Amino acid sequence: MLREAPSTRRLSKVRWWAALVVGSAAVLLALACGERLPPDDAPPPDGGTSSDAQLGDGALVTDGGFCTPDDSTLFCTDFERAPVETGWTKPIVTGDGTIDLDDASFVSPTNAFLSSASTTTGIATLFRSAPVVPRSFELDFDFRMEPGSESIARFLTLRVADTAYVRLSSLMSDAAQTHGIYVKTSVAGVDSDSLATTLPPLVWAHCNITVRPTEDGGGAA
Amino acid sequence: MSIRITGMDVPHTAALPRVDVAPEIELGVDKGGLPAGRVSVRFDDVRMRELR
Repeated sequence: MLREAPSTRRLSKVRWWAALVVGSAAVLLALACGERLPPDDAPPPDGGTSSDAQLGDGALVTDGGFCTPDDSTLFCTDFERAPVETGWTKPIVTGDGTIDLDDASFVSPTNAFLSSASTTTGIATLFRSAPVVPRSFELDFDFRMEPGSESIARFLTLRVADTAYVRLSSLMSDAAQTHGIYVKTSVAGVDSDSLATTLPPLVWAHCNITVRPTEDGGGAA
Repeated sequence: MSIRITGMDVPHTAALPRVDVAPEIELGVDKGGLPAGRVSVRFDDVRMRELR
């Protein structure tokens, strides 16, 4: 697998987002401007030293400059520190699942979290519980489907209430290895499952999940 | 409460009860009970932030 130059990654990401038809123009513009990618030569926010422990309990895990100290951050990691589960509550690995840091491609230099599994019992996840119960919060992350993915799997579960969770899944949809990305919400036993987008392999995508009271502008289903 | 997911072709929203637990995230490939077949996903730059 070839390492992508930062400028190439940014360009491919801009193209990807520019091609999307998204209901929220503000979000689209923010992403197209590369807001999620720090400057290639930006120094770490603390001058090069690790910036975790600012919030305690490993809330910030960074050596690459992504996780700028901020008192609103509940958890942040750019996967720059080994082992891969650093800062997470626990890894969950079963069957033939594998988790690792990998530097073949990344958003913030120089590592990313690579997760793989094949068997029906394969799990290769990292689990983290937030330190507080926030009134409103958002989760941001970048992901991409890797070559050779040929099947279906969940790849994110976010529990937001005692009886509510959000889940993202991927399903390879054609011979070109385009993947359907599905969003499932489950609230009090009522499930909603829909195709959110399609994504070819080797293209980084960004996902933002915002959970907030409707009166704060969260909207309704 | 509501949830909104952006960054997808089809923004997804859903009505939710209030957040009554510390949010929990499980990130990575989970085949549990699904048909066999390799899936590999790469992740970077995960941030959970409280909104005020």
